[in-house]
Amino acid sequence: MELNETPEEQHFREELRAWLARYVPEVQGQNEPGAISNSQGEYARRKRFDQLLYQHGWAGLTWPKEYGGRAGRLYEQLIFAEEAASAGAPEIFNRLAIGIVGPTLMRFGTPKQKARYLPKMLSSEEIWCQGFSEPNAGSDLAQLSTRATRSGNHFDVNGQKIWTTLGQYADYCFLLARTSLDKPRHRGITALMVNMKQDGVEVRPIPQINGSHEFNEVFFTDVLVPEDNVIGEVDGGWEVAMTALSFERSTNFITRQVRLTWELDQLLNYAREHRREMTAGLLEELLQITISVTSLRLAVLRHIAALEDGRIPGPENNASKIFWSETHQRLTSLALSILGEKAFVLGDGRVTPDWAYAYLSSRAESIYAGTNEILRNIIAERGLGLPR
Amino acid sequence: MNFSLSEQDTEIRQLAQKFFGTECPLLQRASHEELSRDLYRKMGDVGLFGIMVPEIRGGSAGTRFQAGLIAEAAGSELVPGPWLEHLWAIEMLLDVPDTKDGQWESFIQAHQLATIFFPPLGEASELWYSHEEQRLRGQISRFSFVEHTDLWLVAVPNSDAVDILEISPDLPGITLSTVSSMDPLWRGAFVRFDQVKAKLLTILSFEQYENLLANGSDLVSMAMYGAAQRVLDMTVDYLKTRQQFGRTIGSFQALKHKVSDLFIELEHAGSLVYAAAGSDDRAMQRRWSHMAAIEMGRVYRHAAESAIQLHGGIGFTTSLPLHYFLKNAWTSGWRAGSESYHQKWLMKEFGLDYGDTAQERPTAFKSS
Ligand SMILES: Cc1cc2nc3c(=O)[nH]c(=O)nc-3n(C[C@H](O)[C@H](O)[C@H](O)COP(=O)(O)OP(=O)(O)OC[C@H]3O[C@@H](n4cnc5c(N)ncnc54)[C@H](O)[C@@H]3O)c2cc1C
Repeated sequence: MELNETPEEQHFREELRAWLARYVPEVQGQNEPGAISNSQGEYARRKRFDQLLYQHGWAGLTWPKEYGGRAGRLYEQLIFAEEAASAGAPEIFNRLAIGIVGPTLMRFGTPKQKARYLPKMLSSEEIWCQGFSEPNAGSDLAQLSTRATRSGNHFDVNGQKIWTTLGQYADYCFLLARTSLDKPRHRGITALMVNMKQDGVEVRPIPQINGSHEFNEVFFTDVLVPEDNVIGEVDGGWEVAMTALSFERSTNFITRQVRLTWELDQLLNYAREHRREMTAGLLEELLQITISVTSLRLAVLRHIAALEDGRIPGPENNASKIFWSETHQRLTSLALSILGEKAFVLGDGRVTPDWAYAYLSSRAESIYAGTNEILRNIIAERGLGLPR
Repeated sequence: MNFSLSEQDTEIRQLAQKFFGTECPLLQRASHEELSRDLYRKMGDVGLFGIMVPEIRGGSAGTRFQAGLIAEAAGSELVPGPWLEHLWAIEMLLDVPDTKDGQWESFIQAHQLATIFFPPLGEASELWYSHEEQRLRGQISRFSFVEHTDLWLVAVPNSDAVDILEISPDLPGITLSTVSSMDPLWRGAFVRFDQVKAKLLTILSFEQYENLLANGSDLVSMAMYGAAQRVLDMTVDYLKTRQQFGRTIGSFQALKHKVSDLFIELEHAGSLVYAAAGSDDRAMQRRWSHMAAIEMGRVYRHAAESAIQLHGGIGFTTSLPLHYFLKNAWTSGWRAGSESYHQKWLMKEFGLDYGDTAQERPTAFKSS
């Protein structure tokens, strides 16, 4: 067990910190690092940061070298997230491609597909979105009904997706569609890569409770997708989708808990200054959350060590997704309790972080990437072996 | 950075689990409460007590964390008696240079068992020790396992340091009266000292003493972690077998979510406990220790309470050992300081305490 950083890790941190200090000011915006507005300026700024990372060799930290990555350790990804957060850098824009679609394509894609798509994911030349959920297929994803019917060497796609993050900017969509009606639900689904900039694709924004514009409805009407764009086997999309979800759940928590730690530090600073105006109850809740955040960080370090040792992620990752989202919800509620009216004002820049925004956004965290109820089912059934 | 067990850690963990699982199995032993000196000697024989002791003194020169892994394994079988106090006493003695080889051997082999009274600083002490006369007077109202041990180590804080005394139970001037506790696994007594001739073993600075407390607290937290995992395992097993409404009760989602919650809590509190016990950075260890004590105590209690609920009526009986966990969850938590003690330390550490507010305290009714 080694709970201190090695000289190499420290060196990586310092090098990165210097780089961020030099380049982040170029791309710093008014908004919270994760927030997305619908302006072209915002789009350009976010994409610019991704491309700077790429040009200087920081993109795809944990991607293998053969695909242009740095073949770095997961722990370096944590360092990256920490340094990026404290430098006020925007979140990586093409995160769905780099975190989810890319690794899935590395597993299931043909050499030709990998050569065509992976480099442009890394350079953020092509932005990706993930088209899984539908109005009638949320937690019960296998219920999806978007159709892809074969005509010659193409598929003809018709249907609707919903909650599609980055859909308004995306060049490509990692789409799940039903290709066979006569097979059991899980066996008739195919994973496709769909060009979003073509006729028949219509993206409509969905207003969100936090004022940000992240997700969309996407309508597909007679959209042609070449058969070369199938990932894995036709009708074999369920396995592809499950692999994608496991990437989403296994490494996302690394980045997200860092932001939580940063926010906690801001609230601790505030409370230190104003503690005499605060009740003991609020201060104790703050201490309790501090303990939770510390234990989350340590649990994340344990998962990282396990993953780096090549151990297969168990239910612990889902446990940390639940624990992270619920701790963040507690923290942001507490911040509103402590700051009161000062924090209700949205984005006037006088209070950092923008607690109202953080509070509202945190409500989504127990819903996306598997609702916390679904994840609890998974822990009980697959982790603890209880019957379905 | 590498937060995982070394090969040697894993070996020791398995060895300890196997030892307690064979010699003192929770679900098969005749008595849960009986304290067997024979078991303790066997623990000594396989080297469990010498884990942190240097090789030249007959130990195996392991780490503090490895001692913690032994505590985790013992905790999961609810091993009765002063094993934890004994381990803690040995850890303390490591810093006392003139402990004799013969004495080491008898501690490591458990021919002699020790217990400790190491109260948190800041608690009103009811003990007074005179250096000139080497005499102790005062009282300890709950002294763990005094009637089952051969040597007592007692800390007496004074204004600038902490005296550690060595007391043998048969000295004149000691009177005992047994205290009964809600936890049958905790045995202790009210002890009075009337000018007892006690040997001053060593004097610790406040800092050294607090480090000693943190080390002990980590052992307690590891034991609680082991116990809480065991409670969860027993409950999951029961949910897989008990039938109601023609179904296995573990298929009810309300129950699935309850055990998932325990799993989630344990996973995170356990990470704190391992980090505290495994850290070699004093400053971080102190923080993590206090956090682990609070959090693992809370999680262990929650696990024990839920276990009873999820077992239904049988959970409220003594035919299952679940009730021991429930009771032990409270007494363990307090073994290395109260919740308030840990919380106050952390409040101060994070700058959230009010400080001395005596003068600023407003009155309820201002007289004009
Ligand atoms: C901010 C945000 C971004 C998103 N981005 C994307 C994206 O980019 N691409 C994409 O494909 N999807 C995305 N999603 C969708 C997300 O994956 C779904 O919202 C999620 O899977 C839940 O589906 P649903 O919304 O239909 O809720 P439902 O499945 O209808 O759930 C409603 C409630 O019922 C509960 N429930 C459902 N089934 C069970 C069960 N078996 N047991 C217990 N409780 C149950 C749920 O937990 C929830 O509380 C996003 C969602 C959000 C909030």
